[in-house]
Amino acid sequence: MDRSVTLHQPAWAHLEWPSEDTVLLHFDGPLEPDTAARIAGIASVLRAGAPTWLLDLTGGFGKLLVHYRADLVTDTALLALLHKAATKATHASTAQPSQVTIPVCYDPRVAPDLGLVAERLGLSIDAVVDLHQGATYQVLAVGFALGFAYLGGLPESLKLPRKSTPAMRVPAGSVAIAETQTTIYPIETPGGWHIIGKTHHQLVLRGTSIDLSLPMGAQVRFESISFAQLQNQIEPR
Amino acid sequence: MSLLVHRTSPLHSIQDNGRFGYQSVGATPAGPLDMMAFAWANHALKNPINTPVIELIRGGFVAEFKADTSFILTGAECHAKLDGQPCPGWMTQQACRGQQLYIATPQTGQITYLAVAGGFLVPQSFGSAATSTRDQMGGLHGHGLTLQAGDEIAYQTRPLVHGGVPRQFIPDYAAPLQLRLIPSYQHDEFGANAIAHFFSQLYRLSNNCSRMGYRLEGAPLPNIPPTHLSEPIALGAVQVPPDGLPIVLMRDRQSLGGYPKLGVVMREDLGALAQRRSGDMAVWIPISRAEAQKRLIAIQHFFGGVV
Repeated sequence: MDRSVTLHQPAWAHLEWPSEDTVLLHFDGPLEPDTAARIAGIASVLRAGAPTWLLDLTGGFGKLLVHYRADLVTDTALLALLHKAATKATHASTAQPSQVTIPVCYDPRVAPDLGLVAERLGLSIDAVVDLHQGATYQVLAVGFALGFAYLGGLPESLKLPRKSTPAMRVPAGSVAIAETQTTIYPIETPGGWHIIGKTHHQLVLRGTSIDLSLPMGAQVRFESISFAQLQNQIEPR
Repeated sequence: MSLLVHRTSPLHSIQDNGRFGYQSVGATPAGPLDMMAFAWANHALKNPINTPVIELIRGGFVAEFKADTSFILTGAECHAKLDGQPCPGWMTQQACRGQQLYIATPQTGQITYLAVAGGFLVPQSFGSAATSTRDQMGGLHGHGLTLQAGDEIAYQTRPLVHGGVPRQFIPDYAAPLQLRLIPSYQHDEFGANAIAHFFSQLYRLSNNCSRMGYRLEGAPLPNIPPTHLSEPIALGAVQVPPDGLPIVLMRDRQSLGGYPKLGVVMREDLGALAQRRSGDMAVWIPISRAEAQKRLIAIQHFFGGVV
């Protein structure tokens, strides 16, 4: 069967055509901050004009899936439009990514896995906390659940595989680590990441549209707060 | 002026053709599991294709029309009755104020769409009425709730509409199912042996099927490629976790996933799959993307919108 890609590969990204009305763009360096910023930039340029041919965009880890109206635009015309957007995004890329600082309580009362994480890493609890809040992270992907951001940039010394058996119930606002990433659970869900803290930071803002405090490409830092300070903060709705 | 729900189930929800533009924040598109039966319902009533309808999985629905309306049932045949009179599917019916609609459990197929002329008047929730329980979006009140007894779903009385779906387009959900796969994603990472197995064996639908995904059972595929970094998932993607059994990702799928994928089910066949039940059999055949795309474009031109 003919699986040959009907259109030649352009220089600005590697292309794949997963289904009738999607194209998947691949960029080098899936775990690089620059790549996440580039994808966020292209997505933003594409969305700006709200073109009728564009249905949806899903980005993450060096890839951008474009769901388009195959009945409104040909694949050839689509490629030209995407190329134009990519070029425009390159020129506009001087804009700084959004920077967010998130208060996190690392108290064992809200960090059920912190002790075990420290033990498995051969570090003190304080060292784990210092390393976690000492780094700058970047949103490499958003998915899994509404507002769930995969933050790259976790120090190598905090790297642990996911739990072999996921926890049945991870509370919303749990700050967790796994592999080379950290995250905040936006909702209560089962999950396999190690919970090392808790925040009341609101990740999802619902208005006429949905705004994320941690969109693709955003830069994130964590700042330690006490258990009392956490309790004084208002839990997000 | 509404449909008053007397009996319903958590598998009954309001759907339009889906919520587009929110996958980048991690929301699911939702939308109708069987987009063909959904599209025919709106087409027969001369509604725009993205008009909200009620999706009834496995029947068991009783409701009262509080105002006159034309309506239609498409999808699985569910021995519907309007005030005790048989109410066949795939053709428009006229309901008068006070009449009761009774929908039994379908014998073949499992999803029925109930649409009214002009559509149910449901508030838009982030651009769509489609119910997404997980994301708490869409549905009657915009909070992602499935239907509840006592719900009143508004509609307006319109001039009568007479229409129906030509016989040749009414599917037989008891027929053997052939799923056409567009080979893509990690297809080439599966060995020739695994691919040969996949296209030659008879699969059985598991009892673990939902609006998120449909699992198929059979002999596990050998030598599954490793799990990669999570990547964006297209509607109908066929992922194969380490157990070697394929899962077809449906409307309520997660936006990202890392399991290797064999490709994507052709859109037209997704609805046919959605209608099958646990224990039903399916075989796979490959189709080129170009051919599948030509078909999708023809379907979208016919219905005047996105399916």
